[in-house]
Amino acid sequence: MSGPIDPRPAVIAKRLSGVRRVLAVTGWKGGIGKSLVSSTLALLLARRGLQSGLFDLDFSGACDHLILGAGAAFPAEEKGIVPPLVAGVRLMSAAFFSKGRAVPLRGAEASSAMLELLAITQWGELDCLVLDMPPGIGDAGLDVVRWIPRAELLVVTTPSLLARESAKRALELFGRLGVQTAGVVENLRRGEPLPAFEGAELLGALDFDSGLEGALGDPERLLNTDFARSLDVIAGKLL
Amino acid sequence: MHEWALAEAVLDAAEKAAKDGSLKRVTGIVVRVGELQRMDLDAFRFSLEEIQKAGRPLLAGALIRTESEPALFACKACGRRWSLAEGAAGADAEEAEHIHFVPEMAHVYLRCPGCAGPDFEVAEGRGVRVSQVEGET
Repeated sequence: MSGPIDPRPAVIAKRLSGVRRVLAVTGWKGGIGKSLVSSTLALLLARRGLQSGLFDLDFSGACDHLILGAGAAFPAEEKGIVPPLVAGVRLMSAAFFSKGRAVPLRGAEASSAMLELLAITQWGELDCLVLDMPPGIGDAGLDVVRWIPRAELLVVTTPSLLARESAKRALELFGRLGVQTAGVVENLRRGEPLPAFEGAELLGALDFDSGLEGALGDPERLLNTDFARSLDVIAGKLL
Repeated sequence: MHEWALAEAVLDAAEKAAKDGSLKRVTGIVVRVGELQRMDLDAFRFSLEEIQKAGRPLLAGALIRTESEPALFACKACGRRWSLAEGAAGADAEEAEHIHFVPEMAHVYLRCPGCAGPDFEVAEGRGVRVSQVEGET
């Protein structure tokens, strides 16, 4: 041994051994709807009768628990921690441990927190685990590539040139790192369809939905939005 | 108890280190347990023993020793170095439990006693580390 060993990475594959598929929802730009796509997708998969999980990796801006209306849900302790079942979705989030306060983590600390949760979370059997990635290609993005190499990217973008350029760069980089891409989702569509992205299928588009804000925290209502109906078509293509 | 999950990680890591070092049999493992994580040491040791017994021939008979490591914090803003006892003032039992699950939550609940800032580094004693794996080649 050349020095002390961090034991946590050694057990990640075991913790995810019952998970059939991992989808990492990314897009690099903030505010493009990654969390809404991630959370609603996890709900839609559960409604289709699949065992669905959702891991909010955006520690500083965690909001999946709010979208799903997790309320006082909290992980149970059983040879680790078992994510609570919220509206049919196994949900893990740093928000369970932060009591709604700010989580001021530097990159290495966010990486360590993610590693801790990957090492101690007992996901059990899941058909699909959706990872809600934070904006940018910081530690979380690189960590997912390193620790969950079988994760497939689902890239969210908007019609804005700024978001599309970020999505393009994300696809280029993750492609070079050998990460598989499940496809691209256009959120907040306006008018004409987006031009094709090299190396990734455009799975579909989601229009701005004025009813969405009022459905936050209410999974049943969320599943009845136009946003969810359009995303369900995309979910069908992913399966 | 979530100590089980970390104990399993420790033994998986020790097995991997033994294989990487071409050890035929592991005779001793030393685990450093950081103060910040507030592990239940009895539960942790029980988990280590139970998992060790469950079909791990490479680790059979290995003596596992745990050593406590005091937590030491270093403030990035004012440079002060401080102990857990100095910085944990005000953190209640629920908050300590949250830090137990994810030690990085210290940045949510603990503050530098010098400048009251959250921008500090956990220099020592964060969580669990395997510091030694000894055996026969």
